[in-house]
Amino acid sequence: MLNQLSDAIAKYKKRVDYLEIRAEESEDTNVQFRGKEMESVSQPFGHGGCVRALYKGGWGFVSFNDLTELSSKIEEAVSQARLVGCEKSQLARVEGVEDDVKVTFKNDPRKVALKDKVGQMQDYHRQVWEASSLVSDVSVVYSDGFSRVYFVSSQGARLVQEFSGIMTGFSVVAREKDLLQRNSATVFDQYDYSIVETLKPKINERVTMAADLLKAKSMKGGNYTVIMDPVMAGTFIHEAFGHLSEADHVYENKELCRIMKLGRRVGSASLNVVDEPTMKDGWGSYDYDDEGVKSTKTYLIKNGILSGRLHSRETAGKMGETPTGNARAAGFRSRPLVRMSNTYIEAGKASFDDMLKDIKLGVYACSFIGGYTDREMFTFTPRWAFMIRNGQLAELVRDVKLTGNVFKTLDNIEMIGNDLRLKVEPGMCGKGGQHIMVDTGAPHVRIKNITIAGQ
Amino acid sequence: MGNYTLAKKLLKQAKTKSTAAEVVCSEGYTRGVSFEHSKLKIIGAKHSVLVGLRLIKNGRVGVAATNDIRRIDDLVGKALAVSEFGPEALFEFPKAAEYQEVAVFDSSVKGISEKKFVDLGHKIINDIHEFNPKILCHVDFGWGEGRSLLLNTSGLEVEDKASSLDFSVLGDWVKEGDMLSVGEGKTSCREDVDYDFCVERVKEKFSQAKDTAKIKTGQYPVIFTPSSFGSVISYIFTALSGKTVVKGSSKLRDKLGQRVFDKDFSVIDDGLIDWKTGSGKIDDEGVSVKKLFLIKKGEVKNFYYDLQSAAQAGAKNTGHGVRGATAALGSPGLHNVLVDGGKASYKSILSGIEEGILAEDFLGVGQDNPFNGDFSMNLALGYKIEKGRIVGRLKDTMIAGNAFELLDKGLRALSQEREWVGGSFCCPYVVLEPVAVVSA
Repeated sequence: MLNQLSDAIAKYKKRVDYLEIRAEESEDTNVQFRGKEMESVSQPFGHGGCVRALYKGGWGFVSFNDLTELSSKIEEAVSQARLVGCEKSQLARVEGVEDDVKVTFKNDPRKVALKDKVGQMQDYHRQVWEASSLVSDVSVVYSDGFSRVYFVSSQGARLVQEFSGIMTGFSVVAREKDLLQRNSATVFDQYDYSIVETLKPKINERVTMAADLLKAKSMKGGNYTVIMDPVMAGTFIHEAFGHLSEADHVYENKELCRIMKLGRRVGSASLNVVDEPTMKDGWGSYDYDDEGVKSTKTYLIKNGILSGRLHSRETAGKMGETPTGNARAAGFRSRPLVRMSNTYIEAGKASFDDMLKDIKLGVYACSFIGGYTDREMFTFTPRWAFMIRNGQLAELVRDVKLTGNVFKTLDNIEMIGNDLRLKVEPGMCGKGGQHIMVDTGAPHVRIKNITIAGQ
Repeated sequence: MGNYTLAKKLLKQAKTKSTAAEVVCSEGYTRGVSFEHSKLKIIGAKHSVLVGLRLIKNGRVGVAATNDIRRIDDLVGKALAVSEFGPEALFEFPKAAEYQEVAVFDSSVKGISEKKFVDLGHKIINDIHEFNPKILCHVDFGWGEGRSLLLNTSGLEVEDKASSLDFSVLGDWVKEGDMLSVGEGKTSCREDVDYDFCVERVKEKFSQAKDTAKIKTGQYPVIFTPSSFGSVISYIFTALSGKTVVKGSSKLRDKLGQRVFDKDFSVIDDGLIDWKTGSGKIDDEGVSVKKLFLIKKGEVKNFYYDLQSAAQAGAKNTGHGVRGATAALGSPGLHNVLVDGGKASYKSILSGIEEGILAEDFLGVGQDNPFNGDFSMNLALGYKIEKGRIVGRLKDTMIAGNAFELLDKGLRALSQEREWVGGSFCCPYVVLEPVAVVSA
């Protein structure tokens, strides 16, 4: 395959400044139960590829399923790039690597019979329904995926990388009259099918939480001191800050360059934020990005100072910074964008009790359902939350949503816990219509003055 | 690729090994031109094929799909393998019927040159820069066509094709402590997109957001634009879905025939409007498309179903089967939704508001409990209204309420003007009150 792609590139590379081809083969298994029934079982398989060409700073990108017509697709991408290009191509220099990255499974999901996967989900499905009489809707999902990606560039890269992922989760809706509350849990691993078994203890815990939320009251809107649990705090740093450190937002925006100037203080000296695709077993880990650049650990904030950002070869080239290997694409239909991998806040010194003890009225926000950001503004929703009253955890509250301004909020971080948790949720991060695997992490974090919407 | 021969062959193979079967082949070709940060950045193209097989064996459904034409012979085996565990088949594949034709295919769309959109994009950016040179512009054009062929063992053989054109423009203005993105877009099956209208709207939004305003935490009337109202009505769509109904999660599951909304609130699904992106003579399962009242004068008239959910509910299929990218089992989805307008003009509605909010765009849509109807959303773009006038942009402000309650007891006005949002949702400006507002 690599030779076929190299040969195809060789014929056209003189007509453009840079040319790459990515090709992919994939096979997946998906099982879903919804409501009372089995919803679907499917095992889609496929292949496809894409060509990306750069000419005088302009890009052409063509994706396709049929690799037999490679020449005509390259021709198409080359002529697109030539129509766009009108300045200078500036890609940061990287070594053209040759490598063959194989997945080593601890328990290969492809060797587990479909019958056993379905059987396991059937058990979970039954357990969720049996966990409470208030359960009114259930979804149980399982999926595993395996893909092999080939990458060849006109600058000498020749890569084969295998990727895999196994996840299972459930969500539940509890109902009492017209009030509905939901909860969910997911477990995941890249290489070990036995992770699937670890969902079991979470079922009772989360169904009980959904039922308890039915009895909980909505909280009063306003500004509060908030303690975020590691899952929530990880989401916060991903959504609220991580996206701003993606250089493709910044590199052609002079004003944002000024705001995101490296060396600027953005938080207290104890705040350290890292993006680490090289982490072993992380849901967002990888060896090479989709431009064939070796992945690296990047400090985004070090001791409260803005100290790095995430790059593609183009953003690094244009900003005169070092490429970080963060150009990622959601499959062969997509061109690489600057993306995070595993992003987390490093551990601090505070214990959970230290954080709690002097809060008169506050909120303990746990886990997360979702989050969005419009760069400086963010909003996200915990799966559940407790009031904090006079230094103690108090009643459960429902339908809590947090919002704020990124820079003010970073500056309002008062305490960072000593209890860092990684590999917390199998996140799917969306940007430009592309969803990719990411993970987050953090210790408990205490932040003052966060706005909470309420009725 | 000889779609027809291929589909026939596959159906024949499947038929010998199953009770009933259905094959869908689709292929598409789309192109795109994108400007980022006011510069022409990329031209792209996408060639795609997908073959899906759904069969019924021993009373259970098996599905398989691939985009790898070389391995089509593997599909029957895959579908049979999963059918062993698949859901119980409660439906039969539809027979051929009379279809009402609707115009969704314009062969000239595919042929539009990249050059045309390159030039148009430059013109749009110049236009916005004349208004304010500090705005960075992102402009996207996407156009092309798709064809699909559906065959089943009930004798149905139907071909469908549609063209499409997407346009969006986004202006981005960043100052220290103040970042604002303003977008507008249109989608159609032909090139009838009013580019100038979108550009003027972007400028108008920037003008209205020039000054910032403050609002005290409290309860206010909120005007939702046709676009932002989509975030509120989505809860109603979820509750009307036949699937939510049969799964027991719909707040409306036992409300058919009852008035649960304001009597001025009427919603129709109509998949037979020419050139709208939700239109088509058949749904994704080969069932003919008809106009359907969802809510009439506040009364719940119909739920919308696909084959499986209709069978489960013991209801008549409404032709709302939608299939995802994997061509797997369908789920109910809407075609084009139209909300009835009211009597007052938008201008008179605005001028009648003493103190309130005009909400253009939200952050955090879809994070809320989808079944309850409780929403709380951050105003990505919204303005303060004082004495009937827009006085400035509201930042760090959230609004909250319950969609079902507000559309029952809090529907204050619907404008007579309606606008198409995207290519498949037509809606007036809607005033809801009281909406809880929390300001930082």
